[in-house]
Amino acid sequence: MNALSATPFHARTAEANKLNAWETRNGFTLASGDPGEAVAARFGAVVADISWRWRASISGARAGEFVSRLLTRDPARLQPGEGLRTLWLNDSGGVRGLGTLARMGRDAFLLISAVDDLGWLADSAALYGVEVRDVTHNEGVLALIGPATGKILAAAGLEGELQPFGLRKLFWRGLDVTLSRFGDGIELWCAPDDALIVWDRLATAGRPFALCPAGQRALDILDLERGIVQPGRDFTPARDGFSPKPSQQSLGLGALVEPDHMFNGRAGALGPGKVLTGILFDSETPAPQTVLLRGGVAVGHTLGSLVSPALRRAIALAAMDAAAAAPGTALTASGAPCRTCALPFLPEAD
Amino acid sequence: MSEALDALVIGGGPHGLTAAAYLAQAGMRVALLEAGEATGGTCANALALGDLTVPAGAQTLYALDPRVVKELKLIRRGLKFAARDLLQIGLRADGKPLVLGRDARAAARSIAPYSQRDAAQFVDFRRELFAFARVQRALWWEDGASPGLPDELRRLGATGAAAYLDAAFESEAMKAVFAFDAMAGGMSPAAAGTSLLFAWRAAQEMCGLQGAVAVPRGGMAALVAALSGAAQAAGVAIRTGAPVARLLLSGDAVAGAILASGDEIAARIVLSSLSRRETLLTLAPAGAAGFAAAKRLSRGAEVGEAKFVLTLKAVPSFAALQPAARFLIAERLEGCIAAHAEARAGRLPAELALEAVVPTAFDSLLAPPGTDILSVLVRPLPVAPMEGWPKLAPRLSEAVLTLLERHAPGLRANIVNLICVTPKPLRDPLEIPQLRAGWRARIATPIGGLFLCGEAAEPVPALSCRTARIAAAIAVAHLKGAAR
Amino acid sequence: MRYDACIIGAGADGLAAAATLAGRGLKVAVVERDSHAGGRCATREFHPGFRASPYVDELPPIPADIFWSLDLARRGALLAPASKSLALWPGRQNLLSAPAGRAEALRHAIVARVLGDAAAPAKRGLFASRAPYAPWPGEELSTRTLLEAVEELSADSAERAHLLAAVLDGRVCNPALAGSALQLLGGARGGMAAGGLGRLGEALRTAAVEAGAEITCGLEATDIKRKAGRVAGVGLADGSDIAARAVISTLDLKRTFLSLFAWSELPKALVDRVGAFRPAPGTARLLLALDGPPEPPAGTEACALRGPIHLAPSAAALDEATRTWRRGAVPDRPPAMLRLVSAVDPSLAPPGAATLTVTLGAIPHTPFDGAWTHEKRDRLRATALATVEVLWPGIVKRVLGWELILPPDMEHMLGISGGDLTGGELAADQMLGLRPFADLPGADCRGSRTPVEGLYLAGPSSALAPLATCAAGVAAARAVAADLAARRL
Repeated sequence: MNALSATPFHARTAEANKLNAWETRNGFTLASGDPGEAVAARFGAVVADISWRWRASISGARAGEFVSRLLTRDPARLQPGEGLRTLWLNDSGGVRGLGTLARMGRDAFLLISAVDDLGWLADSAALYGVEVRDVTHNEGVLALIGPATGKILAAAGLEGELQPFGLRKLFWRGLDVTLSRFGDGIELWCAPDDALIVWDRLATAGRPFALCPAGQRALDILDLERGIVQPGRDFTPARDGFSPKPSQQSLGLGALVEPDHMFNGRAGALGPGKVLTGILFDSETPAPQTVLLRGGVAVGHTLGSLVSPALRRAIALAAMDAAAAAPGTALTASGAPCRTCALPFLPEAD
Repeated sequence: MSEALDALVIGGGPHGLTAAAYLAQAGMRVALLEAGEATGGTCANALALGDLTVPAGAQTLYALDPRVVKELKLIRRGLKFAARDLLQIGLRADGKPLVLGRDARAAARSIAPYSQRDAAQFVDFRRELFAFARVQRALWWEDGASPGLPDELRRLGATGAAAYLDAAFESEAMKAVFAFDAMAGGMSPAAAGTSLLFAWRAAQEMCGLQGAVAVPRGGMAALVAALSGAAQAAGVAIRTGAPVARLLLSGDAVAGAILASGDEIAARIVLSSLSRRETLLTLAPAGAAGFAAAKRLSRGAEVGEAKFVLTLKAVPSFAALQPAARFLIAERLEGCIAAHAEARAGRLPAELALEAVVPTAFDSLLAPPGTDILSVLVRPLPVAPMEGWPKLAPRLSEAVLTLLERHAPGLRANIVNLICVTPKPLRDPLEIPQLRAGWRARIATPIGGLFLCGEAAEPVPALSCRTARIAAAIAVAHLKGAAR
Repeated sequence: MRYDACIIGAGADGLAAAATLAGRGLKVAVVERDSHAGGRCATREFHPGFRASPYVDELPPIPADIFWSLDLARRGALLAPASKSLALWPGRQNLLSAPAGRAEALRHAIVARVLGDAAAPAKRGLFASRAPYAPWPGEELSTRTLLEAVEELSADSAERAHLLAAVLDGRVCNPALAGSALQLLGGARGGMAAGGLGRLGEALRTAAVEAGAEITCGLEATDIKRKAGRVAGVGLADGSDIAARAVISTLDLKRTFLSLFAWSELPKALVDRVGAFRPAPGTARLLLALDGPPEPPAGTEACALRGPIHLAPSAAALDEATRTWRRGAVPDRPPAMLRLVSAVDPSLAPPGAATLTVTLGAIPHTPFDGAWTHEKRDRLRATALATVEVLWPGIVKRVLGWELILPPDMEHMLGISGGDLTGGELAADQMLGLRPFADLPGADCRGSRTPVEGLYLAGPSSALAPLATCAAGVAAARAVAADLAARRL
């Protein structure tokens, strides 16, 4: 069995992990932290270690062609430094992965996802003579989430506008770093050797803004509150080449499929599907992967579910039939009453 | 330069010609593209052996679909048979040959020296096998049929040929006779489901006789000529010297082909008689067939067969008494199982199984008088041996000649010419589940409008043209459905 | 137009009651004296760029189901989980997580009990006094002292002193008095609100308005109109009336009965009881704008500054402070609780600066030697700053601005008698079933009902107010709804 790795920020996250709760993702040991840290992201800001998210570099003369065939959205219009959120499917339309693609150059791309899929990508890329490498260990990545993020970055000396799904390289007082905006908040990428310096600089800059470290539990809660679906937590990705499950229709991910684009597994991915909605429970008991009933009839199922400390109740993302997805519909999930609501669960902080 | 075509057929071998003929008969505008200078594929006389030319593929027919013969009027177009029902003779170094023909008593007499029990069992064995095979014909001959005896089919689909033969016979000799057929398609006799290979073979019909093996008069070229005539009569435009470089796709459906010369030919459907691998990995644009399918196809067949053709000054001694036969040479079934393992590992096996036919013994048109042709198929052999075929071929020749000499003393001295065709790397591997699945699964591809019509889509690779017939029907239905 | 209910006061209880009643389809009017709604749920910019919640930093927790049903989080009320509190003595410090356990379970039970009583329609006349007495959860605390209760929670003397201070949360009491253990019920903190408690007030207001309640600000209720012994409406300062079948008052006990009625109209027992209702020792608040966050004391981590900081708490100091307050004197060294609120919520101070709140306990409403003058205020402020200087020498020079809020100011700003935010001492004879009064003859006073038919009391003097925010209002609303439905009004 392979030993687990530590992220480049391990020394700092271990210090901040007061509950001493740990978990493993993608072969990294990570601090779970306290779920209550998720509320701190609504006050000042939180900094979380997301170096464990799998990243693959795709490069080669035909990389653009390969990536276009692989993903359910057309990457042709991306300029270098731009990204998009997308799915990739197996031959029958089963969802193998969900992540973000960033164009790094004319023939170079970066694919980021919570769950790795290197084998599939490497085998498929070989058909085009394109190289796929796992670059997860090449960088440390932090996420800064919260209303004070902009002020903290300005105080730290990281200036400049960043478009949604944009990426920018900077030279920051002697360090090469990259800033991006691919999900919740801002991501800061750095070389593994510079990780602790970066962390300390951010901590100093963030002290007047109540910057707190957050563990993985808080990060999951923040994702869920924003309605961001993550593979692994919200669904189990297909792991063979021909199983049509889970289909994008059954997960309510139709927004990430462009029907006119030619991609692997397209035949199974067309057609109307369920809608992604939020579910509010009247209790603090989460109910992941549970069937939702309205009047005894199954109208959908929950994906990931956690307790939100800000809402003080359990919430879930769910894939539901369009007819039952109107906000406020009363449902039950294994006996527990709940109702639908629009995403995101909490209004964006200004 | 483009032509308005309904269908394009790639490959001018017997399968391609059959498919094109059927499509044209159904009223489609069809063009057939053959990479070589002449049609015929492995049936064309392409190998030069001294003054003679011989085909590179098999020289016997045991699976040609009688409906193809009838519907394309092949008899009228010149297909005649020099031999209709070859005997199956197992040559033994340790005794007299086993003669397994339709005559039950003669068969029993030849088996008895090896085992009385086997002699008694053989007739029942053959009768049960043929009965099961007839019932399963529906599945193997028709599109959309379901298996007649599903339980039996499932049981045999799990049983290896070795286990099947061990249960039927006790003598080594009887088991060895069937060893060669048990390795069809590069399978090991111990592999699960290979007993179905016997059933499939027994389900075939040649010249009205179940399970018969026939040889066309004038060699396989006569079959090609008949098929070619049928195709041309139906209105197929045959283009030779037109190798296809890539398929043209529009969206996820086929739109035609691009030749190596750069010409584009548009068509609404394309039938390919090439292997699945070649069609979907080489001709189709990368990734169009689906990534998982491409990965699955990337492994080609690992074990194949080689063909030897010898011209001799005299008939080999084993063929002297009963020339109209296919001679099967294999020592032990166990040895063939071990040989398959060695072949998979990339080495030349110690024991080999041979099928030898002397077509000149019953068809004098094939060679000038005084010259005989010995056509030998050798199994099992590595498709991509570690040393490489250029180094291995001479050793193989030596092994084959030694084996033949043992059963026909004096053979070496009579050899005029010898040619060896090593196993082809582009074949698809045989998968036993194909024998239980329907036609559509084998013929259709993930690319809309692209169908396979050659040996690749047969349940067992053999020259039957059945696939071509059914593929043509499916393709026509697809076009009519699309039009609606 | 006749409303189903008129609610006096648009604080947390009033707005929660309005939202609950309007959500059931009843016509509700809310009158508020101040120019905006929220009451204690306020955020005040006491110095340009510096904000804080003026009265308290944290309110008691809102029960989870009320929080959900009013959808407060999605309306902007984001409450941080309670952070650890820090106690500092010379040479010693202690970090304490919020003690949960029995007290929390008791609070849940008491809230459930009152809500249950409220939902059962009122009994009048003979039936009232015949109702069997059901014991209250937490009654065993009425005979125990706070010192005993704290001794059970910890063996270390310093930690016990810290626990005392943490439970009192800036208030004072005599911890050796029987019945002081009831302070445990009031010792829960519900978390700081992002943007100050004012955001919670806005979320509640939004909940009420979106449910259909009508809120009128800048209008004081002057008296309650009655007809045939029943409540008929509320008279307003501008001379107009609001006709309503029921009235919920969220003012404290004394102000409800002694300023909204003529004493002669009320039963003598009631007036006696109201007069005898004792106030709790008051608190003063000093809001400080600092030019930068102070350094954590030696040996503590930065995160220790996120919670309340108690300076040298001890049981003896509390006892002394309570006695001083009873004499009407201003303590020389009032018990102090500091909170660096900008460390939790950076929006409360400009970037680089800090906001500090100081809560002083045992501050009299009117000192024995006369009302609060400017001198007395300055002296108190100096005393408070001196206390802070012990912890952070030189802090005085870093103060950019300040505001001192004393009990009379709170009385003026919130309309609360004596400036007593707790609405009455948390003593054994003024808690649980006796808060604010037990059943009086002929009147059912369970579940926020009063001896005046049609008048319901939510607000700080009600049974649930020290335990949970908004719960008293919801209880009154349920009582109104139950009584209206049963046509008792």
